[in-house]
Amino acid sequence: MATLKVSNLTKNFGNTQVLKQINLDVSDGEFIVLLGPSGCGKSTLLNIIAGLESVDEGEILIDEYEVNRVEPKDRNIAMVFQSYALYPAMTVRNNVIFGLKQRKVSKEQIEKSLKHFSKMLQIDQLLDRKPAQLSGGQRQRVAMGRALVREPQIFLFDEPLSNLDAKLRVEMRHEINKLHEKLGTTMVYVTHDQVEAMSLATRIAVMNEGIIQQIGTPQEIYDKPNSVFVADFIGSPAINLIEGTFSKDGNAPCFIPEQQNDDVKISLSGYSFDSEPKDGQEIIFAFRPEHINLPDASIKSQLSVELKPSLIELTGYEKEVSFEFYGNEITGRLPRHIDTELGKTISLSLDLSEISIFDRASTMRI
Amino acid sequence: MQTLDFQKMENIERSTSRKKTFYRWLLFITLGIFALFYLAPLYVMIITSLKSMEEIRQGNLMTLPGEIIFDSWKTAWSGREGIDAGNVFLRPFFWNSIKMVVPAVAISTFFGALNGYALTKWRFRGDNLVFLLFLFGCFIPYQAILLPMARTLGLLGISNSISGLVLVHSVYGLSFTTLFFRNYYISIPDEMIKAARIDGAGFFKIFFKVLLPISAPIIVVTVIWQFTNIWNDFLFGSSFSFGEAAPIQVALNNMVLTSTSVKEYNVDMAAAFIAGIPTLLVYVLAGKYFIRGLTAGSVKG
Amino acid sequence: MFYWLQKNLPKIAIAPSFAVILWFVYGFVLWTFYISLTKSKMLPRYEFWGIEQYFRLWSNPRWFNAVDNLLIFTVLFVAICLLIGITLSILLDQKIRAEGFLRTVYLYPMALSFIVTGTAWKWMLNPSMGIEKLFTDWGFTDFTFDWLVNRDMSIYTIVIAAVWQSSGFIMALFLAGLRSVDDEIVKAAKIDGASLYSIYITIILPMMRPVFMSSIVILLHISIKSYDLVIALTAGGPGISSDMPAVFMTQMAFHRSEIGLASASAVMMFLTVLAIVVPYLYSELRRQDANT
Repeated sequence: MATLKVSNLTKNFGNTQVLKQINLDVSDGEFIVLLGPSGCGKSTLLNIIAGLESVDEGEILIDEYEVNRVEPKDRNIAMVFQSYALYPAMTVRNNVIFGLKQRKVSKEQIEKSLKHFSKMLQIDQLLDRKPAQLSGGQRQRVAMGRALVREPQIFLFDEPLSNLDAKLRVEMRHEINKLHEKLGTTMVYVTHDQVEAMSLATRIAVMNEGIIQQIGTPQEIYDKPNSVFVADFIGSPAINLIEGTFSKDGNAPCFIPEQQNDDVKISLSGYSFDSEPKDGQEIIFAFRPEHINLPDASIKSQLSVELKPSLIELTGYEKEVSFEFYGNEITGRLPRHIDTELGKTISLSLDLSEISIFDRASTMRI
Repeated sequence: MQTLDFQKMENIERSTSRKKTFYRWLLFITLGIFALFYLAPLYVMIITSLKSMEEIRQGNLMTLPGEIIFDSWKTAWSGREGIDAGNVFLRPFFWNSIKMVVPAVAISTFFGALNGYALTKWRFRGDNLVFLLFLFGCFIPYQAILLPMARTLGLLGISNSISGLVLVHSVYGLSFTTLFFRNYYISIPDEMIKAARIDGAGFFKIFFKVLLPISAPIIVVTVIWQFTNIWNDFLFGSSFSFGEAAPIQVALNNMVLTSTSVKEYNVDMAAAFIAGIPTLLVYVLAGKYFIRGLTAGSVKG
Repeated sequence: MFYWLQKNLPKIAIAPSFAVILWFVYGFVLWTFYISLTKSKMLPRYEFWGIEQYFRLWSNPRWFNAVDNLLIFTVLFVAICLLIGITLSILLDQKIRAEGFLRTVYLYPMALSFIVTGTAWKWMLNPSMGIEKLFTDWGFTDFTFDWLVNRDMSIYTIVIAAVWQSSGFIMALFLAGLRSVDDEIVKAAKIDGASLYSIYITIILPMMRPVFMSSIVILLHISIKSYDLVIALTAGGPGISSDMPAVFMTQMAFHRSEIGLASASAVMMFLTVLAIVVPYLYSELRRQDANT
C-alpha cells in the first residue's frame, strides 16, 4: 500500500519538453489510469515513476519519501509491460522468481509465493515451459505473476493489453479489475484505449502533449469534460461538436449555430456556466450521441429537432445514425426499434441538460 | 510486503552514483586501449613509410619521422630508374587489379541480381534446391577447385591473364551475389510484381523497370562486398597468374619477399598502404554498407 | 513455342549461372575428388588408385604438422575472437557518444587484404626492429619478442594477426544481436533488481545463441581457409613451423608436382567444411520453417 505524489515534474528529451509541470496525487489503493494518445507523455511519466527514466525538474514521492534518485529495484514497485518482456531463455518459473532471487529471498519463501500466485493466475501448470511456448494471454499472466510475487506497494502497467486480440483483451481486463479488488494495491495504468480506462479506473488522468488535461472519476470525465480534447477523446462514437456564438438575448442565454440562414437560437438556460461568456463570444456546443432520442416528456430541458438521416449503421442492439444538424454532421445513438429511413425526416429531441459548452478560442469548458 | 527504509535509501543512492562514474571511466579506458590496438598497425605502417631507412634503423616502431619523406611511396608505386630495374613496383599491377575488378564485379552483381529475382519472385520446381546449391558455393574452400580451374584456364588459353582472373572471380562471386540479392528480394512484397504482371509486363521488363530501380541499397552492398573481396584476393591471383598479369596483392607479396640488396621496410610499408587504400577508402566512405554486407551474408535469411 | 518461352523464362534466366555453378563448383570438386583417387603427380592420370593418396597424406609428417597447427590456430582464433568480439559489443552497447567512430576503428581491419595485414604485422613483429626494439627502447632491456622467427611460436603470430583482422567482425555481429533485444526486457530486469552484469550474463547472452552459432561457423570457415595471411606473415615458416593445410595443398599442387596428394588434402579441407556447414545450414532452415 502506498501513496504516490508527482510534483511539478518536467522532463525533456533533447530540445523537446515531453512532460510539463505534471502534478498528480494518488491515494493509497487507487487505480489511476493515465489516458492519452501516442506521444502524450504517459509512458514517459510511468517510466519516471518506475525509476527507469531520470527526472529533470520536480519530484516523485512514494509514501512521502522522495525517490528521484532511487533505483527501480529499491522503489518497491512492479511493472507489467506491453510486450510482456519475459526472459526468453528462462522457464516460466525462473521468470517469475527472478526478482525474488535477486533480492536473496529464502528458498521457502520463494516457493510459497510462487505457489500462491501461480495458482491465483492459473499458470501453475505452465511453470516448466519457456515463453516461446505460451500463448499471448498466458504470457501476460506470467508477466503479471512476475509482478505479483514481488508484493510491491505500487503496480505499474504499461499498455499491457495492447498486444492481445479483442476477446482476450476483455478477459484480461476483467482479471486485472478483480486483481485490484482482491489486493487493493495502488495501481498506475497507462493506456490509449478509453474503454479500458473507463472500466478499470477509480480516477482517470487524461494527458495530451505533456500536460494532464483533466483528472477525475470516469463519470466526471465523461459527463463534464473540461476541454474539447477530453470531450472528444472519451466516448465512442465521438461527441458532437457544433461551432457557433453565444448570445445574451435579453435575459435568455442561447447558442446560435454558425452559418445559419434561419434565425436559430438554442436556449442555454438549463446549463450552469462556470463563467458566463460574453455576448457574441465564439463557443462550441457539444452533446453526446446518446443524448438524441425520441421525445420524452420526463426530460425537463429538451430541444425538439427534425432530423434527416444521411447514414444508418446497425450495431446490433442499437443504431448509429448520422444526421445533418445546422450545417454539421452529427451522430446519434437510437434504439433499434425506431423506424429510420435514409432521407426521411424524423422527430427527435436533444437532452439539453447533458450538454457541454466550450470556449472556441481556449477550447476549455465554460 | 516491504516498506521503504529511508536511511538505507540515502546510503544506497550515494554509493551507486560513485560506482557508476567509476565504471564509466573503466569503460572508456578499455575501449580506448582496444582502439589503440586496432589502430597501431595502420599508424606504424604509415609513419614507417614516411621515414628514411636510416631513421628506421635508429629509432623504433613508434618514433615519428624527423622529416617526412615520400620517396618510399614513389619507389613502391613506380620503382626507381636505372639500377633497380629488376625490382617489383606496384603501378602496373594496380591497373591490373582495376582491369580485373571492374568487369568481375559488374558481371557477378548483374547475374546475382537476376538470379535472386528469378528465385524469389518466380517460383518454380526445385527453386529451393537451386538456391541451396548456390548458397553452398559460398562456403567451399577454394583449394578444392584450384587444380581443375588451373587446367581449365590453360585449356581456354587464358591462364596467366587478367581475363582468366575475371572469369574466376565472376564465377565464384556468383554464390555471394545471388545470396545477397535473394535475401533482399525476399523481403520485397510479391504484390508489386503481381501488379506489374497484371499491367502486362513480362519477366525481363519487371526486372529492369520495377525491381532494379528499387535495388539501390543491395546493389551498393553487393558491389562493395565484391570489390573488397576481389581486390583483396591473393589465392586466385597467385595460383592463376604470375609475372605481368598479376593483381596487386600478388605484386605486394612478391615485393615484400624479394629484395635484391637491403630490406627496405619503408618501401614495403608504402606498398602495403597503397595496396590497401582502395578498400580502406571504400570502407571509410561507405562503411555502413560494408557492414550490411558482412551481416547480410552471415545472418542468413 | 512463345508461350513455353514465357513460362520458362525464369528458369532460362537462371540457367547460365546455375550451369556455371554446377560446373565450376560441383563439377570441379568432383574432379578434384577423383584425382585424389589416382596416382597423379605432375599431370593428371585417370587410372583409379583407390584411397592410397589418403594413406600417403595421413602418414605425411608435414601434413600432420599442418593439421596440428590448424587445430591450435583454430581453437585460439575462435576463442579469442569471440571473447574480444563479445566484450567489445557489450561495451559499445552502453550508449556511448563515440560509438560510431569506435565501431569504424574496430572493424576497419576487415577491409584490408590478408596480404596487407600480414605485411604490416610482419613488420610489427620483426624480431630486431619491431615490438622488441620498441620495448627495449622504452626501458625493458631484457624484453624479447622473436616469435616470428621462433619455430615454436610462429603459429601464434598468425593468431595475433588473424584476431586483429577478424575480431571486429564478431563485435559487429554481436552488437547487432544485442541491439535486437527488446528494451522492455532490460527494464523488467532492472525492476527485478538485477545488476547490469547479471542482466547481460543471465538474460541477454543466453538470447544470443543464434549469433554465437553463426559466429563460430564463420570463424571456423575463415580458419580452415587460412592461406593469404600465412603466406604474407611467415610463408609457413620458419621452415614449416607455421604451415597450414591450405599452404600445404598449394605447395604440393604447384611446386612439388604432387597433384594427387594435393587433391587429397583439398578434399580433406572440403569435407571438414562440409561437416561444419551442412548441419548448421540444416538447423537454420529448420528453425526458419518452425518460425514461419
